Amino acid sequence: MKSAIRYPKEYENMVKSVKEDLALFNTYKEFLSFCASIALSNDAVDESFEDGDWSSQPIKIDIFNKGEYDRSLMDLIALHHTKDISILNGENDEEIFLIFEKYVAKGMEIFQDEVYTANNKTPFEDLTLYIDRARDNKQSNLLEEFTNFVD
Amino acid sequence: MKFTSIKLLDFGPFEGTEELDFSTSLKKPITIVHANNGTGKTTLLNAFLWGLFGVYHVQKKEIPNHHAVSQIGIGDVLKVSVELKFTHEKRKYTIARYGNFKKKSDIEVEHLNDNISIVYIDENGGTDSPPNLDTFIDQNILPEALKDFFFFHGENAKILTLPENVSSAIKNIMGITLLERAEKHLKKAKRYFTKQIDLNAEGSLKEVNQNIESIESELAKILTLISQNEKLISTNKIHKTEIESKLLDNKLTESLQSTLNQHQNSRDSLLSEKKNFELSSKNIISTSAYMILISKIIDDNIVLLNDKRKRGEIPGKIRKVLINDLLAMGECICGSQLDEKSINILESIRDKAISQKFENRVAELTNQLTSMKERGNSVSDNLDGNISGLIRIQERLDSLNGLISDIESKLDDKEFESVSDLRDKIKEIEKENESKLVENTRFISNSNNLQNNELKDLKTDREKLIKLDNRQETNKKREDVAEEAMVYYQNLLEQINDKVRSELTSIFSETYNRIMVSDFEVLINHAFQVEIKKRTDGRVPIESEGQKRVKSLSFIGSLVSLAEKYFSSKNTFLKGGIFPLVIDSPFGELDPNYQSMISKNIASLADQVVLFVSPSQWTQSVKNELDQFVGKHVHLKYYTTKSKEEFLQNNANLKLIGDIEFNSLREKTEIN
Repeated sequence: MKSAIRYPKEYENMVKSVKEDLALFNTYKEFLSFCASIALSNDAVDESFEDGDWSSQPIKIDIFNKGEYDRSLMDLIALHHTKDISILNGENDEEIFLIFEKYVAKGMEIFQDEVYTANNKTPFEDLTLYIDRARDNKQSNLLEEFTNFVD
Repeated sequence: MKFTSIKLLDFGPFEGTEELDFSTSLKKPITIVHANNGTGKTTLLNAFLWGLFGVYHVQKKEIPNHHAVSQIGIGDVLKVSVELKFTHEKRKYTIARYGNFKKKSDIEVEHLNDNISIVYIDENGGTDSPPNLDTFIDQNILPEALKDFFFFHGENAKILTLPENVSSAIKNIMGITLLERAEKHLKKAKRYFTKQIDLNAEGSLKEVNQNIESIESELAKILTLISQNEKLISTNKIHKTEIESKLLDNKLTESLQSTLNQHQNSRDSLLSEKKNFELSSKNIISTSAYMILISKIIDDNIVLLNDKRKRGEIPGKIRKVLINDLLAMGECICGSQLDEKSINILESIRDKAISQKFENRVAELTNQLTSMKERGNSVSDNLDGNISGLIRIQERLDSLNGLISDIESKLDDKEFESVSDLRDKIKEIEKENESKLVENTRFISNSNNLQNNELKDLKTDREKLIKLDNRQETNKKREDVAEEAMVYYQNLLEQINDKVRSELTSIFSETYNRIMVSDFEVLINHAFQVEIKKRTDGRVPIESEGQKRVKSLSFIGSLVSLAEKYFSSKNTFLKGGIFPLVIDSPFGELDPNYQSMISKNIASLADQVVLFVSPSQWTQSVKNELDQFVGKHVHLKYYTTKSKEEFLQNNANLKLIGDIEFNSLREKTEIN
């Protein structure tokens, strides 16, 4: 049985920096969930994830199990990806984890391009600006207003 | 004096012979020398000083051109020269100074000596050369002591109006020093005849004369002391008003400092508030922002799951276990026996039915998604609240930063001295002035006493004794004439001083106010010092750099103008003259407002003005103001061995105007 969530080795430095240096995320797990959500909201997935190199520091699944919504997020992603409710029948968790990893990998790629290397403003402002852009419902443009304002 | 040309030979960066002609037009008296910084402007200014007076502002080894030095052998002598042509009092002069420089090694050059040649053509076409070459320029054309008033760097102009510089400049340029010299000579003459009387005197007369001489010598000492004290008191008064103005300004500074501190404290607390908002926002983003990103997908999947529920796929109304039990019993739920058709239907339903665990997981996911949706909305609201807070803080921070920056730049312009230091200085000055006044009262009383009593009595005795001795009659008459002439010159000098001061103040004030609108009043005081005060309260104002520059240029301009007036009117006592102004970077370090003010008026300051300007100073507004007065534009073309990129790296602020040739064989400057 799979015990940890992997992510591509190429993003190892970014993951560390986002958590340790920039302190944008409290935990690695939260960053991975955020990345998976980015990919999900973009309906994009890294199908070749398994062919690449993985980080030597995967995040234990136990850590996700302790979160309030983390397993539900994984189930949601799996359900959205397969469009088959039977994925949740308890016999497909390995597949659910793999699908999650593929979304995490794609999300990291998007995060790197649109936030981490954007360098338009401060990392915090680039992140808030990204969230604002990615909101499903664009009723509010407060974040954009904020980042424009601080220029 | 009006320059027509300057010719340089291997002087500084000017290789070989380079010549520059100046505008001598009355209507267009300005010559503009355009040059980038570091390409020979200051060298050219120095060439004037070296040519005329043999002085140079930097080391003399910088005079010979490097390439010319490299072309001669060690031990050989290089001849460097500057030739100036100018007109002065209807004569055309050519003055050439030759400097001999010996090459001691590849890096060392020794300045051996200078030779000077001066030739002039008079108004009748006759050519001659003055006898006293070394002192001719100083004594007949332009006093060396005044060189800094006519050849200067714009940024140094402000020091020209310092008390110690002004008095001698006015007296020199107006020829007052000649009158002062005449007065001194008459004093000497009177003393000479008195001495003759002494030499021939015998007995009582000799004794009386010795006493008179001793008292007069005493009186002269006292008068010198009184005059020195008066000068000191006058200078002290100017310093005192300056310090008082500083004190007043310090109060404003303190108030500004206090406001700055308040603003900085507010900024610190806002920054701390901003940090808290950012931390809170980061926490929201880290834990829950993903729910915002996927809110639509959550919605879609809640709909999907509810759809499945509606279609009966979840939750399973019939469970696998129940169907298996019924099939095992062979009975329907109503108790009737199952036939083959019913068994087939039940088996098909059993395959579609789901397990309890599966059902629970789907139900939990549905609940979780609903909860995530609500949480996502709340997170979105919280984040918006935080961002609104951040915008509000940032608005206040921006406003505060603007105020802080304004105050800081105001404070940066101030030389801050503590109030107590300034008060101490005022006290010191007051104390010194008080003691000097007391001293002068004592001196005056002593001198009155000496003059009115002892000297008066002695002189009466002397008159009587001389009358008794016929041999002294001629010397006595001579002494009386010398004294009469001396008194006449003293009175004349006083009147002329008053006249010059008053006329100069009038032109100075008119020029200053023409250039700049302000509530300041400028004048030349009795000690021949430049004074500036506020019209409103008579205090000495704190002047900006621009105001100081305008004051100095106005003073120099008014001096040139008055000298020219007296030169034209051929006044017996006031000589005057026509003098050019040669100014390096007249607009350097000035804001555009002052650049415009000065450029508008600079042509009126002298009959000939030569300005060295860098491209950054030759702005459109300066050009617009000056163009109508410019008779000649000259460009210094600079050749550098560097590439354009390399050159710009070291001269980041340089604004190129095409007067630089890159990748040249050697560094040099040409006059175009």
